Amino acid sequence: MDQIPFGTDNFAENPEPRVPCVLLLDVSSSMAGQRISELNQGLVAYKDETAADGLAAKRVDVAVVTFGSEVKTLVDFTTIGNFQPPALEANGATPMGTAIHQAIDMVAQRKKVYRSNGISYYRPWIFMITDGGPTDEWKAAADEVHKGESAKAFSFFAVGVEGANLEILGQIAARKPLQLKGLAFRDLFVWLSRSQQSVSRSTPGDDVPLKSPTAPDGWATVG
Amino acid sequence: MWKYVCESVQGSSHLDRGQPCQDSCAVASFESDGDNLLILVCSDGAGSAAHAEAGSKVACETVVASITGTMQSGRSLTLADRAMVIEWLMQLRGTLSAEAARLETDVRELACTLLVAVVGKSSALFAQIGDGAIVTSDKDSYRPVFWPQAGEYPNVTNFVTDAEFEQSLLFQRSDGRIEELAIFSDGLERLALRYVDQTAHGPFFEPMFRSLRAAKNASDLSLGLREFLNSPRVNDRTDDDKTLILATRVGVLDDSVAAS
Repeated sequence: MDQIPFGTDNFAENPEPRVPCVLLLDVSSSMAGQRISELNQGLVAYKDETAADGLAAKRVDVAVVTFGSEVKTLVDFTTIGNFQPPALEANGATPMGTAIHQAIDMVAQRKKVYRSNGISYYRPWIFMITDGGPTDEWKAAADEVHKGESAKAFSFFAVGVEGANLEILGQIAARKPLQLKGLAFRDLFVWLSRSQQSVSRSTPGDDVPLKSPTAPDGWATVG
Repeated sequence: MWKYVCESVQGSSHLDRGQPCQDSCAVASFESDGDNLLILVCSDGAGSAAHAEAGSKVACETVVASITGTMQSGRSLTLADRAMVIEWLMQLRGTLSAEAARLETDVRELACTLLVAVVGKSSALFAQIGDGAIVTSDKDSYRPVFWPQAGEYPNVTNFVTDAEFEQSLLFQRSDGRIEELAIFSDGLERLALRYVDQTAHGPFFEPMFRSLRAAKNASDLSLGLREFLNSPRVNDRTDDDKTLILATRVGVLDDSVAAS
């Protein structure tokens, strides 16, 4: 029997739903040398891996906020395809409290932009990496993190590089902080990319990372 | 008399994850009140539910049976109301609970959405919990009956198994003769709906309804519909499971008659 061709070639053009992610990165002086170099390479890996995935390339919106001698929005939200990984330099103290407030505000602002443009978005990520502890006021920031997590306004992850104050990180983050194994930044960012690729899939329910970062071949140990 | 096609196809991300197709669909049509009544049902199992495919399959079978029972017992579609739909949902929830018990799991693991259309000669009933959409035609335009349900984030929707299912239920009964309608699950939402103004994208449906009107036997189109749903141009735009049901009343003017 001849097969009757069936279908359409005309599809609605809709804006892609977005996965917004703020990378909140410690660039204090203790990060100088091999640490910041590996972190920079990790950012390149994150861009490459994510941009290579058809759906994620259109959906992941990334911003970079650094904290060191100042808190700076180095990269405002941009689609991962247009993201130019910055070459970070280390200098200064660790104003983590201020940086966290800034990241949370950016996420809230970004949601307003999406809503006013009829763009859907998945639950935003705030992904913080530090090798120390806050040198500024941080308790209010910790409150904001907990409030945001209870309201499911965003997901906040804290990763400590060797030397990080995991005790304080444990008070700031609602989720248990993870300790990076050595300088496995590349593995960390590949994991982040894959997790976001799976977030941008259509699975109802809470986001579940692709693979536990603390698996034996993972990039982290539980702090 | 109705002609219809109804297919559910596994999404590419489900294939990658080794997850079966969690969409189901069912169509029934029978004589009632001097006309052919049409029942369309679609259900999409929750991605995080361990037995999602069983949930959606049970949903389609049970709801078709409930609606058939109600209509054949003499109750009129013109008098259908929200309470009638709630009865069907209670029966469905009971059946899902029984199936969960049989599978030794929680009913949460059979969570699924539900889209229902019942069309008679001069009235229709529509009900929905969750995402996906029912689209009806009105002369030369297509319109979604309800907008897909979603929370703040697109991957969160409502399910028939939720405690608050009655509040989530979208219901509409309309008077007027529906000539053509479609139902699809959320895998096709972004291809068939325009989000900027919450309308249906006519050109998505037109060619397929034309084919359906012209086909001698609707079943000849089943393979073509499955191939379309599995095609690269569709899979480039969605990696979710896809269900599409299309129904047209026989006797609607097809293009050759209209042109003469």
